[in-house]
Amino acid sequence: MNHVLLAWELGGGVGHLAPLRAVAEGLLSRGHRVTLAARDIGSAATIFGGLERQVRIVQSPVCSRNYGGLADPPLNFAEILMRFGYLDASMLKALLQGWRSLFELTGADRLVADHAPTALLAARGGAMACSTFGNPFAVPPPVAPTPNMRDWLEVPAQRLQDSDERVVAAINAALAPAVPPIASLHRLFDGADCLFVGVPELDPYGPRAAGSYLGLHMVRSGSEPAVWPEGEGPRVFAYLRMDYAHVDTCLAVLSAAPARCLVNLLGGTPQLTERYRGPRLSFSAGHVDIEQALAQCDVLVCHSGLGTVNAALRSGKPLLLLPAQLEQFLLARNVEKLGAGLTVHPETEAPDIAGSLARLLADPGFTQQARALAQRHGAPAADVVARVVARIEASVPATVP
Amino acid sequence: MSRILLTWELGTGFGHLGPFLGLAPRLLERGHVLHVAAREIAGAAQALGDLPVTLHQAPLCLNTYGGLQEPPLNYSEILMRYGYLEPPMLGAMLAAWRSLIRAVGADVVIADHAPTALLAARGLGVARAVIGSPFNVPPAVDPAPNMRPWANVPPARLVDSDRRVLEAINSQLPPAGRLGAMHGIFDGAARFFSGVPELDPYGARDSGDYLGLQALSTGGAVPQWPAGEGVPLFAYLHADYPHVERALQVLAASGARVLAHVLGGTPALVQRHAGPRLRFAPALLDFQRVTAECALCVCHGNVGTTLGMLQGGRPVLVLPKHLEHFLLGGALERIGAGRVVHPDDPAPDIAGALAALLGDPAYGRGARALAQRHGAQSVGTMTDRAVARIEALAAQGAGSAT
Repeated sequence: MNHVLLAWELGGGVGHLAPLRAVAEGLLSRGHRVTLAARDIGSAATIFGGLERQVRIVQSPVCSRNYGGLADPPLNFAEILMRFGYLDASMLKALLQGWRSLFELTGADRLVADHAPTALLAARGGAMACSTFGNPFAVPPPVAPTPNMRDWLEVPAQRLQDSDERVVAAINAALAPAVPPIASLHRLFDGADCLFVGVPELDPYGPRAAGSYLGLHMVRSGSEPAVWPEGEGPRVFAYLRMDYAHVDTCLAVLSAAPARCLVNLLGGTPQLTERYRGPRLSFSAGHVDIEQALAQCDVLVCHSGLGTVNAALRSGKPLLLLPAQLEQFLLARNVEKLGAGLTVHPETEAPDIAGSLARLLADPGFTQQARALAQRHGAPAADVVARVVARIEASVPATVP
Repeated sequence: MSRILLTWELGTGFGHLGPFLGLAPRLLERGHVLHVAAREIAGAAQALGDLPVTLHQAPLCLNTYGGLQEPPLNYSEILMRYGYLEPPMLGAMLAAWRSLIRAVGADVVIADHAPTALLAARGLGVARAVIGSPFNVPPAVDPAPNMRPWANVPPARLVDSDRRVLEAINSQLPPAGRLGAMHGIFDGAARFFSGVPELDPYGARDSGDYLGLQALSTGGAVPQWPAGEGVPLFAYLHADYPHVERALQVLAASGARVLAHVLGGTPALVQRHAGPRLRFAPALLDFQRVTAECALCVCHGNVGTTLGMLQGGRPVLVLPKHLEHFLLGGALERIGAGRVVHPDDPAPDIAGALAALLGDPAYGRGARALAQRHGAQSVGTMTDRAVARIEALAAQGAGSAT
């Protein structure tokens, strides 16, 4: 029996929690103990509802300072970390202390880090076996400096190197004297077994060792049955957020499309839903059962969250992707490269959502590519979770040089 | 040996650990094990320095709540901004606090602005106390009082705010443990208020609940006062205070010999205002020496500086940034030991208030009288008494379940 600490430190939202819940359930069914350290304990308690007696939820250490004067936008992994205390050795030292206290109190012997670099650093040189789990975006490849994630921007190589060096200096200043320093930033992940959600073709950093990928992963989400508008025409399922910049445009396009649309709108207001509701477009009242909606739809429209994209491709469905953040855009671009979907660039002021949707509905090639990918990488969800659990069980403490 | 967990859940800044830090060395000396769960973990690490204390991240509400009436008027309306209208969020915070209290094996939980930690300790039957500013502990009256007495508030609003918060709290407590009123959060908690009864924004409570006028012991630089005539005046200001420029102009022209420490002050700001009558301190000053040598102090009403000055019998001009400090300044005015300007005033009359303080020796007498009234007990005695009370609480163990 192991005691596994699932750690989520950076990044927003439910995207981290739903897959972690599946992992937690897999671990519990094998008799392991599970503690979840969450950035946002409120969302964590909601997503982990029903497991209160089995899974303890504790607060991840959080960087409470804002750092001004950083070059925008962040270009590589180092520049993301800078925004969370990684140029401020005193902050980093305190965060490490917080994580170490948490390790001691829980007595966990396994750490599973989902975008939790400080947890990994705190475990460095210790007795815990470490894995990373989640989006490959959160784990840069083992090269120095860590690569520019915005390859459409012209960036002097020196900037990336400087950023890595500054962050490495702060890390080494914050690590306890007994812990061996890191020589380059990617060494932060030394000895951690990488478990990436998705497939090599979708990795924003390009394909890595095949054993790192868990395959197209489907996480149970939502419970409301998918109810489609009556009539003829293809079925479009749209999973959208109210705070998306072009949400109005998108809903207008959907309401005029030659399709029957079901929209799951997060944070939607009655005014907005009233404006676009019609015989060809309906809004769900709550969270739609994604698995069912995907089985029945012809096209999925979403913001390119990792979980939703994986689920759609696993069902062999083409995607219209409306990313709002960098990691979503990088994923969307890879889906487009595969020919399984189309992407609207997040910085486009007047996106041609109508044109993209029309192409997706008219050209069966997108569906064919999505199905081909599903055939290559589809695996039963239970198998994915079982594989994650087996890898966590087999993980061993790293011998740090 | 007891395990003592100090919790800081709400509010920002170093001020929060101050009163506990005053007790920590003595508690450690007596063999107790100390844990601190802090909202701002880096700030706490800095304040704790090399003290052998285990540091934890306090559970946080990261959600923000729109649509609340501004500004918050009573304690319930503060809590609303931190998850106390969202039962699932509150439930998650309570569960996380319970986990932490259990894992630490705390014999006593001491809360510095940490209502959820108190509720969690109460549910577990762990002894509890509050420490710090009395502003953070409303009196046991219904509804919790309006903290902005100059704002005209229909009493129904306060009643309603208390009711909504109480409902959210009780929805997360087992039936036997439910509260009868919002202020029930603090029931059964021993009190260690910083300051003295006269300075309590909610009015004097039991005199045994106050830690007295504690002096700061920060800094080591020797104060260098400007030469010449005029009384020595110490100013401790923040560069982000909206009226910092005006305040420095007034100080330079006041006729006093001013030594100023400006937190976050840029070289440009120093350049603009430094002169023969206004000198900027380059480092953190030996506070006790500053207190002994100055005639009066101008600051934002932060508890450490204000109480330290009062302990030395120095009157204080308070230029508040926050409500809490305005209320402290108001208490100083009432006892004639200082003046305060209103934080909402777009053009506060700093010059007038300072001239009054400089021109009327009654303020000095008021401050000295306060120091004399409360100087009978040395800080060491107060500390020993507080430590003894904490030890008694810890020994009482599970007996305090409600």
